[in-house]
Amino acid sequence: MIPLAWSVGLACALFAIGVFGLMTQRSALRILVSTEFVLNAANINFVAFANARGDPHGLVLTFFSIALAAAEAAVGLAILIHLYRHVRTVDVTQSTMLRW
Amino acid sequence: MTSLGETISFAAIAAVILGTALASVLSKRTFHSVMFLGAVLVAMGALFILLGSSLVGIIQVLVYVGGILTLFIFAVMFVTGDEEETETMPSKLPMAPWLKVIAAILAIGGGFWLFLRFVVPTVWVLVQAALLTVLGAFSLKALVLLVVLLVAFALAVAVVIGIAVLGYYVAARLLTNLVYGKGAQRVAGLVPIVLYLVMTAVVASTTPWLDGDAAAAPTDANDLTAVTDALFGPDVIAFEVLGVLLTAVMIGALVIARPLDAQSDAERYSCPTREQVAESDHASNVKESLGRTAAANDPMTTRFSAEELPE
Repeated sequence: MIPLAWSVGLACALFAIGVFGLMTQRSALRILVSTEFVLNAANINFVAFANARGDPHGLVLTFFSIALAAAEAAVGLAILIHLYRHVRTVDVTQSTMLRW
Repeated sequence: MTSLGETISFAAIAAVILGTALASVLSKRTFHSVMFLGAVLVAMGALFILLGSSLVGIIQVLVYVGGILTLFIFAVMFVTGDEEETETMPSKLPMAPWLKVIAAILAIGGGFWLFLRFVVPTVWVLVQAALLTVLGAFSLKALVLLVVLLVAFALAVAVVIGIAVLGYYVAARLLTNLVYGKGAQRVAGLVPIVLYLVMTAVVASTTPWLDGDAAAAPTDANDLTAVTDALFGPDVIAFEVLGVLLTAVMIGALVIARPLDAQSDAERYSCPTREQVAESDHASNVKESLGRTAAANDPMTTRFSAEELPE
Protein backbone atom coordinates (compact mmCIF):
# COMPACT_ATOMS: atom_id res chain seq x y z
CA MET A 1 0.00 0.00 0.00
CA ILE A 2 1.56 3.23 -1.16
CA PRO A 3 0.99 6.04 1.37
CA LEU A 4 -1.48 8.62 0.14
CA ALA A 5 0.93 11.48 0.78
CA TRP A 6 3.48 10.07 -1.68
CA SER A 7 0.99 9.99 -4.53
CA VAL A 8 -0.26 13.45 -3.71
CA GLY A 9 3.31 14.72 -3.56
CA LEU A 10 4.06 13.23 -6.97
CA ALA A 11 0.87 14.74 -8.38
CA CYS A 12 1.85 18.10 -6.89
CA ALA A 13 5.28 17.99 -8.50
CA LEU A 14 3.86 16.95 -11.88
CA PHE A 15 1.27 19.73 -11.67
CA ALA A 16 4.05 22.22 -10.93
CA ILE A 17 6.02 21.05 -13.96
CA GLY A 18 2.91 21.32 -16.11
CA VAL A 19 2.13 24.85 -14.96
CA PHE A 20 5.75 25.81 -15.44
CA GLY A 21 5.49 24.57 -19.02
CA LEU A 22 2.24 26.47 -19.53
CA MET A 23 3.88 29.68 -18.38
CA THR A 24 7.13 29.37 -20.28
CA GLN A 25 6.33 27.71 -23.62
CA ARG A 26 5.60 29.80 -26.69
CA SER A 27 4.66 27.06 -29.12
CA ALA A 28 0.95 26.24 -28.89
CA LEU A 29 1.74 22.57 -29.39
CA ARG A 30 4.01 22.47 -26.36
CA ILE A 31 1.43 24.37 -24.33
CA LEU A 32 -0.99 21.53 -25.12
CA VAL A 33 1.66 19.01 -24.01
CA SER A 34 1.99 20.88 -20.72
CA THR A 35 -1.79 20.76 -20.33
CA GLU A 36 -1.58 16.98 -20.50
CA PHE A 37 0.80 17.01 -17.52
CA VAL A 38 -1.66 19.05 -15.49
CA LEU A 39 -4.52 16.68 -16.36
CA ASN A 40 -2.39 13.64 -15.50
CA ALA A 41 -1.50 15.12 -12.13
CA ALA A 42 -5.23 15.30 -11.40
CA ASN A 43 -5.60 11.68 -12.51
CA ILE A 44 -2.92 10.55 -10.03
CA ASN A 45 -4.93 12.13 -7.23
CA PHE A 46 -8.17 10.52 -8.40
CA VAL A 47 -6.65 7.04 -8.53
CA ALA A 48 -4.75 7.41 -5.25
CA PHE A 49 -7.80 8.55 -3.31
CA ALA A 50 -10.04 5.96 -4.94
CA ASN A 51 -7.68 3.22 -3.82
CA ALA A 52 -7.23 4.64 -0.32
CA ARG A 53 -10.98 4.86 0.21
CA GLY A 54 -12.03 1.76 -1.73
CA ASP A 55 -14.41 3.93 -3.73
CA PRO A 56 -14.78 3.13 -7.44
CA HIS A 57 -16.13 6.62 -8.23
CA GLY A 58 -12.60 7.95 -8.29
CA LEU A 59 -11.74 5.54 -11.07
CA VAL A 60 -14.89 6.52 -12.98
CA LEU A 61 -13.83 10.15 -12.71
CA THR A 62 -10.42 9.16 -14.06
CA PHE A 63 -12.11 7.64 -17.10
CA PHE A 64 -14.03 10.85 -17.65
CA SER A 65 -10.84 12.84 -17.26
CA ILE A 66 -9.03 10.72 -19.83
CA ALA A 67 -11.92 11.08 -22.29
CA LEU A 68 -12.01 14.83 -21.74
CA ALA A 69 -8.25 14.99 -22.32
CA ALA A 70 -8.78 13.22 -25.62
CA ALA A 71 -11.49 15.69 -26.57
CA GLU A 72 -9.32 18.62 -25.54
CA ALA A 73 -6.36 17.34 -27.52
CA ALA A 74 -8.49 16.76 -30.62
CA VAL A 75 -10.06 20.23 -30.61
CA GLY A 76 -6.82 21.91 -29.53
CA LEU A 77 -4.79 20.32 -32.27
CA ALA A 78 -7.48 21.06 -34.87
CA ILE A 79 -7.39 24.73 -33.87
CA LEU A 80 -3.61 24.62 -33.93
CA ILE A 81 -3.45 23.23 -37.46
CA HIS A 82 -5.99 25.81 -38.61
CA LEU A 83 -3.90 28.51 -36.96
CA TYR A 84 -0.81 27.20 -38.72
CA ARG A 85 -2.61 27.41 -42.07
CA HIS A 86 -3.40 31.04 -41.40
CA VAL A 87 -0.20 32.49 -40.00
CA ARG A 88 2.36 29.77 -40.77
CA THR A 89 3.48 29.63 -37.15
CA VAL A 90 2.27 28.15 -33.87
CA ASP A 91 4.05 30.70 -31.70
CA VAL A 92 1.25 32.06 -29.54
CA THR A 93 2.97 35.44 -29.28
CA GLN A 94 2.93 35.84 -33.06
CA SER A 95 -0.74 35.21 -33.76
CA THR A 96 -2.53 38.47 -33.10
CA MET A 97 -5.52 38.09 -35.39
CA LEU A 98 -8.09 38.18 -32.60
CA ARG A 99 -6.35 40.99 -30.72
CA TRP A 100 -7.52 44.52 -31.29
CA MET B 1 2.81 -1.24 5.57
CA THR B 2 4.69 -0.31 2.46
CA SER B 3 6.91 -3.14 1.35
CA LEU B 4 10.43 -2.45 0.13
CA GLY B 5 9.52 -3.54 -3.38
CA GLU B 6 6.60 -1.11 -3.52
CA THR B 7 8.80 1.69 -2.23
CA ILE B 8 11.48 1.05 -4.81
CA SER B 9 8.91 0.72 -7.60
CA PHE B 10 7.19 3.94 -6.61
CA ALA B 11 10.50 5.80 -6.37
CA ALA B 12 11.59 4.54 -9.79
CA ILE B 13 8.26 5.39 -11.44
CA ALA B 14 8.15 8.81 -9.79
CA ALA B 15 11.69 9.51 -10.96
CA VAL B 16 10.79 8.52 -14.52
CA ILE B 17 7.61 10.63 -14.50
CA LEU B 18 9.21 13.76 -13.10
CA GLY B 19 12.42 13.40 -15.09
CA THR B 20 10.72 12.90 -18.44
CA ALA B 21 8.15 15.61 -17.69
CA LEU B 22 10.96 18.07 -16.99
CA ALA B 23 12.80 16.91 -20.10
CA SER B 24 9.61 17.42 -22.13
CA VAL B 25 9.17 20.95 -20.85
CA LEU B 26 12.83 21.88 -21.27
CA SER B 27 13.74 20.07 -24.50
CA LYS B 28 14.61 22.21 -27.50
CA ARG B 29 12.74 20.33 -30.21
CA THR B 30 8.98 19.91 -30.21
CA PHE B 31 9.12 16.33 -31.42
CA HIS B 32 11.39 15.35 -28.51
CA SER B 33 8.95 17.09 -26.19
CA VAL B 34 6.09 14.95 -27.50
CA MET B 35 8.19 11.78 -27.21
CA PHE B 36 8.96 12.60 -23.58
CA LEU B 37 5.23 13.13 -23.07
CA GLY B 38 4.75 9.56 -24.28
CA ALA B 39 7.30 8.33 -21.72
CA VAL B 40 5.42 10.19 -18.97
CA LEU B 41 2.12 8.64 -20.06
CA VAL B 42 3.50 5.09 -20.10
CA ALA B 43 5.04 5.63 -16.65
CA MET B 44 1.66 6.94 -15.49
CA GLY B 45 0.09 3.68 -16.59
CA ALA B 46 2.69 1.79 -14.58
CA LEU B 47 1.98 4.00 -11.57
CA PHE B 48 -1.76 3.29 -11.78
CA ILE B 49 -1.06 -0.44 -11.88
CA LEU B 50 1.27 -0.09 -8.89
CA LEU B 51 -1.45 1.79 -7.00
CA GLY B 52 -3.73 -1.18 -7.66
CA SER B 53 -5.89 0.15 -10.50
CA SER B 54 -4.78 -2.04 -13.35
CA LEU B 55 -7.94 -1.22 -15.32
CA VAL B 56 -7.25 2.51 -15.28
CA GLY B 57 -3.59 1.85 -16.06
CA ILE B 58 -4.44 -0.15 -19.15
CA ILE B 59 -6.98 2.43 -20.34
CA GLN B 60 -4.43 5.16 -19.70
CA VAL B 61 -1.92 3.49 -21.99
CA LEU B 62 -4.53 2.60 -24.63
CA VAL B 63 -6.22 6.00 -24.84
CA TYR B 64 -3.37 8.34 -24.03
CA VAL B 65 -0.47 6.64 -25.74
CA GLY B 66 -2.52 5.01 -28.47
CA GLY B 67 -4.79 7.92 -29.26
CA ILE B 68 -3.72 11.26 -27.89
CA LEU B 69 -0.01 10.81 -28.46
CA THR B 70 -0.66 9.79 -32.05
CA LEU B 71 -2.70 12.96 -32.53
CA PHE B 72 0.15 15.01 -31.12
CA ILE B 73 2.69 13.37 -33.40
CA PHE B 74 0.47 14.04 -36.41
CA ALA B 75 0.19 17.67 -35.36
CA VAL B 76 3.98 17.90 -35.03
CA MET B 77 4.37 16.53 -38.53
CA PHE B 78 1.94 19.14 -39.87
CA VAL B 79 3.18 22.08 -37.95
CA THR B 80 6.83 22.13 -37.01
CA GLY B 81 9.52 23.86 -38.97
CA ASP B 82 10.08 27.06 -37.05
CA GLU B 83 12.02 26.18 -33.95
CA GLU B 84 13.82 29.46 -33.43
CA GLU B 85 12.71 31.52 -30.49
CA THR B 86 12.75 35.27 -30.42
CA GLU B 87 14.71 36.52 -27.46
CA THR B 88 12.89 38.75 -25.03
CA MET B 89 14.58 42.03 -24.37
CA PRO B 90 15.61 42.40 -20.75
CA SER B 91 13.95 45.35 -19.09
CA LYS B 92 15.56 47.30 -16.31
CA LEU B 93 14.05 48.79 -13.23
CA PRO B 94 15.99 51.69 -11.73
CA MET B 95 16.77 49.77 -8.53
CA ALA B 96 19.82 48.08 -7.10
CA PRO B 97 19.58 44.28 -7.31
CA TRP B 98 19.86 43.69 -3.57
CA LEU B 99 17.14 46.24 -2.99
CA LYS B 100 14.89 44.38 -5.39
CA VAL B 101 15.60 41.09 -3.65
CA ILE B 102 14.57 42.58 -0.34
CA ALA B 103 11.50 44.20 -1.89
CA ALA B 104 10.42 40.94 -3.47
CA ILE B 105 10.90 38.93 -0.28
CA LEU B 106 9.07 41.53 1.78
CA ALA B 107 6.21 41.83 -0.69
CA ILE B 108 5.68 38.10 -1.15
CA GLY B 109 6.16 37.21 2.49
CA GLY B 110 4.00 40.12 3.57
CA GLY B 111 1.28 39.04 1.18
CA PHE B 112 1.22 35.54 2.58
CA TRP B 113 1.35 36.76 6.16
CA LEU B 114 -1.52 39.15 5.55
CA PHE B 115 -3.50 36.39 3.91
CA LEU B 116 -3.02 33.92 6.76
CA ARG B 117 -3.34 36.49 9.51
CA PHE B 118 -6.29 38.53 8.29
CA VAL B 119 -8.11 37.18 5.28
CA VAL B 120 -8.71 33.67 6.57
CA PRO B 121 -10.05 34.76 10.00
CA THR B 122 -12.08 37.53 8.36
CA VAL B 123 -13.73 35.06 6.02
CA TRP B 124 -14.55 32.85 8.96
CA VAL B 125 -16.11 35.69 10.95
CA LEU B 126 -17.94 36.81 7.85
CA VAL B 127 -19.41 33.36 7.34
CA GLN B 128 -20.48 33.29 10.97
CA ALA B 129 -22.12 36.68 10.70
CA ALA B 130 -23.87 35.71 7.49
CA LEU B 131 -25.20 32.57 9.11
CA LEU B 132 -26.35 34.60 12.10
CA THR B 133 -28.17 37.03 9.85
CA VAL B 134 -29.78 34.39 7.73
CA LEU B 135 -30.71 32.03 10.52
CA GLY B 136 -33.25 34.30 12.15
CA ALA B 137 -31.26 36.24 14.71
CA PHE B 138 -31.57 39.30 12.51
CA SER B 139 -30.81 42.62 14.14
CA LEU B 140 -29.48 46.02 13.18
CA LYS B 141 -26.27 45.21 14.99
CA ALA B 142 -25.74 42.06 12.99
CA LEU B 143 -26.45 43.92 9.74
CA VAL B 144 -23.95 46.66 10.57
CA LEU B 145 -21.42 44.04 11.54
CA LEU B 146 -22.00 42.26 8.27
CA VAL B 147 -21.53 45.40 6.18
CA VAL B 148 -18.41 46.42 8.09
CA LEU B 149 -16.93 42.96 7.71
CA LEU B 150 -17.78 42.93 4.03
CA VAL B 151 -15.97 46.19 3.44
CA ALA B 152 -13.02 45.06 5.54
CA PHE B 153 -12.87 41.79 3.65
CA ALA B 154 -12.92 43.52 0.28
CA LEU B 155 -10.17 45.89 1.37
CA ALA B 156 -8.05 43.06 2.73
CA VAL B 157 -8.44 41.05 -0.46
CA ALA B 158 -7.55 44.07 -2.57
CA VAL B 159 -4.45 44.76 -0.49
CA VAL B 160 -3.30 41.15 -0.55
CA ILE B 161 -3.83 40.74 -4.28
CA GLY B 162 -2.12 44.04 -4.96
CA ILE B 163 0.87 43.12 -2.85
CA ALA B 164 1.08 39.68 -4.40
CA VAL B 165 0.95 41.07 -7.93
CA LEU B 166 3.53 43.72 -7.09
CA GLY B 167 5.78 41.13 -5.49
CA TYR B 168 5.54 38.83 -8.46
CA TYR B 169 6.20 41.70 -10.83
CA VAL B 170 9.26 42.85 -8.92
CA ALA B 171 10.61 39.33 -8.50
CA ALA B 172 10.09 38.49 -12.16
CA ARG B 173 11.70 41.74 -13.27
CA LEU B 174 14.62 41.16 -10.94
CA LEU B 175 15.18 37.63 -12.13
CA THR B 176 14.85 38.57 -15.79
CA ASN B 177 17.51 41.18 -15.20
CA LEU B 178 19.85 38.56 -13.78
CA VAL B 179 19.28 36.00 -16.53
CA TYR B 180 18.88 37.07 -20.14
CA GLY B 181 17.03 35.57 -23.05
CA LYS B 182 15.14 32.33 -22.85
CA GLY B 183 16.49 31.62 -19.38
CA ALA B 184 14.69 34.72 -18.20
CA GLN B 185 11.29 33.33 -19.16
CA ARG B 186 12.04 30.10 -17.38
CA VAL B 187 13.24 31.78 -14.23
CA ALA B 188 10.21 34.07 -14.24
CA GLY B 189 7.96 31.06 -14.67
CA LEU B 190 9.72 29.37 -11.76
CA VAL B 191 8.67 32.03 -9.24
CA PRO B 192 4.96 31.13 -8.94
CA ILE B 193 5.81 27.44 -9.12
CA VAL B 194 8.12 27.68 -6.12
CA LEU B 195 5.47 29.65 -4.25
CA TYR B 196 2.89 26.99 -5.09
CA LEU B 197 5.15 24.18 -3.92
CA VAL B 198 5.96 25.97 -0.66
CA MET B 199 2.27 26.61 -0.04
CA THR B 200 1.41 22.97 -0.80
CA ALA B 201 4.16 21.72 1.49
CA VAL B 202 2.83 23.90 4.32
CA VAL B 203 -0.70 22.63 3.79
CA ALA B 204 0.39 19.01 3.40
CA SER B 205 2.50 19.04 6.54
CA THR B 206 -0.52 20.07 8.59
CA THR B 207 -2.93 17.61 6.97
CA PRO B 208 -3.90 14.52 8.93
CA TRP B 209 -3.42 11.93 6.18
CA LEU B 210 -5.74 9.00 6.53
CA ASP B 211 -3.75 5.86 7.10
CA GLY B 212 -4.23 3.36 4.32
CA ASP B 213 -4.12 0.36 6.63
CA ALA B 214 -6.33 1.84 9.32
CA ALA B 215 -8.93 2.89 6.75
CA ALA B 216 -9.14 -0.75 5.59
CA ALA B 217 -10.78 -0.37 2.21
CA PRO B 218 -14.36 -1.62 2.59
CA THR B 219 -14.75 -2.73 -1.03
CA ASP B 220 -12.19 -3.37 -3.70
CA ALA B 221 -12.35 -0.26 -5.82
CA ASN B 222 -10.49 -2.00 -8.62
CA ASP B 223 -13.02 -4.69 -9.16
CA LEU B 224 -14.22 -4.35 -12.72
CA THR B 225 -17.81 -4.94 -11.64
CA ALA B 226 -17.54 -2.16 -9.05
CA VAL B 227 -16.36 0.30 -11.69
CA THR B 228 -18.96 -0.72 -14.24
CA ASP B 229 -21.68 -0.67 -11.58
CA ALA B 230 -20.78 2.92 -10.84
CA LEU B 231 -20.44 3.78 -14.51
CA PHE B 232 -23.82 2.37 -15.50
CA GLY B 233 -25.50 3.03 -12.17
CA PRO B 234 -25.21 6.40 -10.42
CA ASP B 235 -22.89 7.94 -13.02
CA VAL B 236 -24.82 6.93 -16.11
CA ILE B 237 -26.02 10.48 -16.82
CA ALA B 238 -22.47 11.77 -16.80
CA PHE B 239 -21.46 8.88 -19.00
CA GLU B 240 -24.14 9.77 -21.55
CA VAL B 241 -23.20 13.43 -21.45
CA LEU B 242 -19.61 12.43 -22.09
CA GLY B 243 -20.70 10.44 -25.12
CA VAL B 244 -22.58 13.45 -26.52
CA LEU B 245 -19.57 15.65 -25.79
CA LEU B 246 -17.18 13.33 -27.62
CA THR B 247 -19.50 13.23 -30.64
CA ALA B 248 -19.68 17.03 -30.65
CA VAL B 249 -15.90 17.23 -30.33
CA MET B 250 -15.40 14.88 -33.25
CA ILE B 251 -17.67 16.94 -35.49
CA GLY B 252 -16.19 20.19 -34.23
CA ALA B 253 -12.62 19.06 -34.81
CA LEU B 254 -13.49 18.00 -38.34
CA VAL B 255 -15.14 21.35 -39.03
CA ILE B 256 -12.25 23.33 -37.57
CA ALA B 257 -9.48 21.38 -39.28
CA ARG B 258 -11.13 21.10 -42.69
CA PRO B 259 -9.18 22.59 -45.58
CA LEU B 260 -9.87 26.25 -46.26
CA ASP B 261 -10.53 25.31 -49.88
CA ALA B 262 -10.62 21.63 -50.71
CA GLN B 263 -9.76 22.04 -54.39
CA SER B 264 -6.80 24.33 -53.91
CA ASP B 265 -5.49 22.24 -51.02
CA ALA B 266 -5.43 19.18 -53.23
CA GLU B 267 -3.50 21.10 -55.84
CA ARG B 268 -1.19 22.73 -53.36
CA TYR B 269 -0.06 19.51 -51.74
CA SER B 270 0.12 17.36 -54.88
CA CYS B 271 3.46 16.55 -56.48
CA PRO B 272 3.88 16.88 -60.24
CA THR B 273 3.70 13.53 -62.02
CA ARG B 274 6.56 12.15 -64.08
CA GLU B 275 4.72 13.02 -67.31
CA GLN B 276 4.14 16.58 -66.24
CA VAL B 277 7.82 16.99 -65.49
CA ALA B 278 8.81 15.41 -68.78
CA GLU B 279 6.54 17.57 -70.96
CA SER B 280 7.81 20.81 -69.49
CA ASP B 281 11.02 22.19 -70.94
CA HIS B 282 12.97 23.03 -67.81
CA ALA B 283 12.74 21.72 -64.29
CA SER B 284 13.02 25.29 -63.02
CA ASN B 285 10.01 26.19 -65.15
CA VAL B 286 7.96 23.53 -63.37
CA LYS B 287 9.09 24.72 -60.00
CA GLU B 288 8.25 28.31 -60.79
CA SER B 289 4.79 27.55 -62.17
CA LEU B 290 4.02 25.28 -59.24
CA GLY B 291 5.03 28.04 -56.87
CA ARG B 292 2.82 30.50 -58.72
CA THR B 293 -0.25 28.25 -58.63
CA ALA B 294 0.38 27.51 -54.99
CA ALA B 295 0.50 31.19 -54.18
CA ALA B 296 -2.55 31.92 -56.31
CA ASN B 297 -4.53 29.09 -54.81
CA ASP B 298 -3.72 29.88 -51.22
CA PRO B 299 -6.33 32.40 -50.09
CA MET B 300 -4.38 33.28 -46.95
CA THR B 301 -1.20 34.02 -48.88
CA THR B 302 -3.04 36.34 -51.22
CA ARG B 303 -4.93 38.05 -48.45
CA PHE B 304 -2.01 38.60 -46.07
CA SER B 305 1.30 38.74 -47.83
CA ALA B 306 4.34 38.60 -45.59
CA GLU B 307 4.81 42.32 -45.13
CA GLU B 308 1.17 43.25 -44.50
CA LEU B 309 0.54 40.70 -41.75
CA PRO B 310 -1.45 42.46 -39.06
CA GLU B 311 0.68 43.28 -36.06
